Amino acid sequence: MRERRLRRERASRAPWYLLTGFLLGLAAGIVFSVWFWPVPYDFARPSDLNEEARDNYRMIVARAYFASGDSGRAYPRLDLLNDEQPESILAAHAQRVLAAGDEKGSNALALLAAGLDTDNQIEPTPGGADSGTVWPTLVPEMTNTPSGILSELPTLEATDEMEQDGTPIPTIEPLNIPSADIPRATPTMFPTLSAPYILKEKAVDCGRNPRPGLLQIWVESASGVAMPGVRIQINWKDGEETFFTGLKPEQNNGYADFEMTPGFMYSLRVGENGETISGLSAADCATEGYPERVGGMVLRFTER
Amino acid sequence: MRKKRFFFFLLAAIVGALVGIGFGWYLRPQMYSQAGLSNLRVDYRTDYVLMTAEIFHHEQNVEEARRRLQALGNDLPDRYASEALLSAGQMGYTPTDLQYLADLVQAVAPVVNVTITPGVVSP
Repeated sequence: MRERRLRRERASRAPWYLLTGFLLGLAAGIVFSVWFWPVPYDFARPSDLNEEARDNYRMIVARAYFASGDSGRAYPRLDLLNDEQPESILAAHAQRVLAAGDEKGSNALALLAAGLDTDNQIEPTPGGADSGTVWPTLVPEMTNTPSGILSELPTLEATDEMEQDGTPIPTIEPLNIPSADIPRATPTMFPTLSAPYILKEKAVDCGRNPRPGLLQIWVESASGVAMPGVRIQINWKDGEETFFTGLKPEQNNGYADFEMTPGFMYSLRVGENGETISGLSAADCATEGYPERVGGMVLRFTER
Repeated sequence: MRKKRFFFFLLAAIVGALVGIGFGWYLRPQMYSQAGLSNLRVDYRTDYVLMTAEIFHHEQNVEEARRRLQALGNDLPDRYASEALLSAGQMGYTPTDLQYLADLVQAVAPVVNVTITPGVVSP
């Protein structure tokens, strides 16, 4: 009788231990995957951004357009946000920005919005003589969409509203935004000349370098400060390569290197109008007493 | 009986842990609709830095450029610029774009007096 009662009690008891185990495991799993070993979230597209970040992104697109006048880049970039009515969003954003006192940002957004409205366009006076507004024109050479996002960008199709010369016809009528004082885009296709760099020191490196034939380049300013972002062009018989200092900050901000192939002769130039150093090659270390080693070179440049 | 219960308890805990990990690693990232600029994919981030470089090229305002780069996260602005320059090189950006980025790297780099000491020249 008692045994039967016990059996009945056991049967009626819910398997709470299973639920307890599951919940404990769930909590441990969440803590582990969210705090201890979270998956890095760095694969967002512009359309995934929150409102504040979207505003920032939209603003920088507008400012880049304002600065460069390159609509071939600006509109595909704007499309990445997948806004449903981009022109009205831009107009509202321009109003907000203007209210916050950023007139330049507001003008940039207004200009970007104007280019989107194809229904009520006002043809700008050539050179903007009447309106005082000079509209940027499309510059075909400047419409190189960065190839990294090329596959996801919709192409900007020419419409009837576009003029023969490819100039977009912006409209500002439906937007209650101030007229923009836009400078005509004057793209600089060639970088401005920077201060020339001259060779200060050249030495053969026959040390135990794990990368044989390594050409090490160190660039510093006249005051001895390491210079990052300095363009280095290296040429050899069948090719050339361009790279920059500062890509290995763990070494030095003014450092760059290149692996030379033994038997090849290289010439190198640092900066835009720096001295060209010719006759560079992997060093023969036999004279240094290490015939088995392929040596490198160390070049140290300084601003003139 | 106890052994059996302990076994099922452990099994339930393991299943719970797997569900929790699945949530943290797969579901939670997809639930993000609140991504910030710091979460941008590398190619979009590079393009963002390029836009900053384009603006900087025309306006030459270093502080503004730094502020725009700082919107990408908590690292130093020059780090974002350097990373973008590296990525742009790998993604085949045009020489003009690379030059813009290089100019930006140079402009936003912190001014630190570091004496360059070339590596050991002789063994």
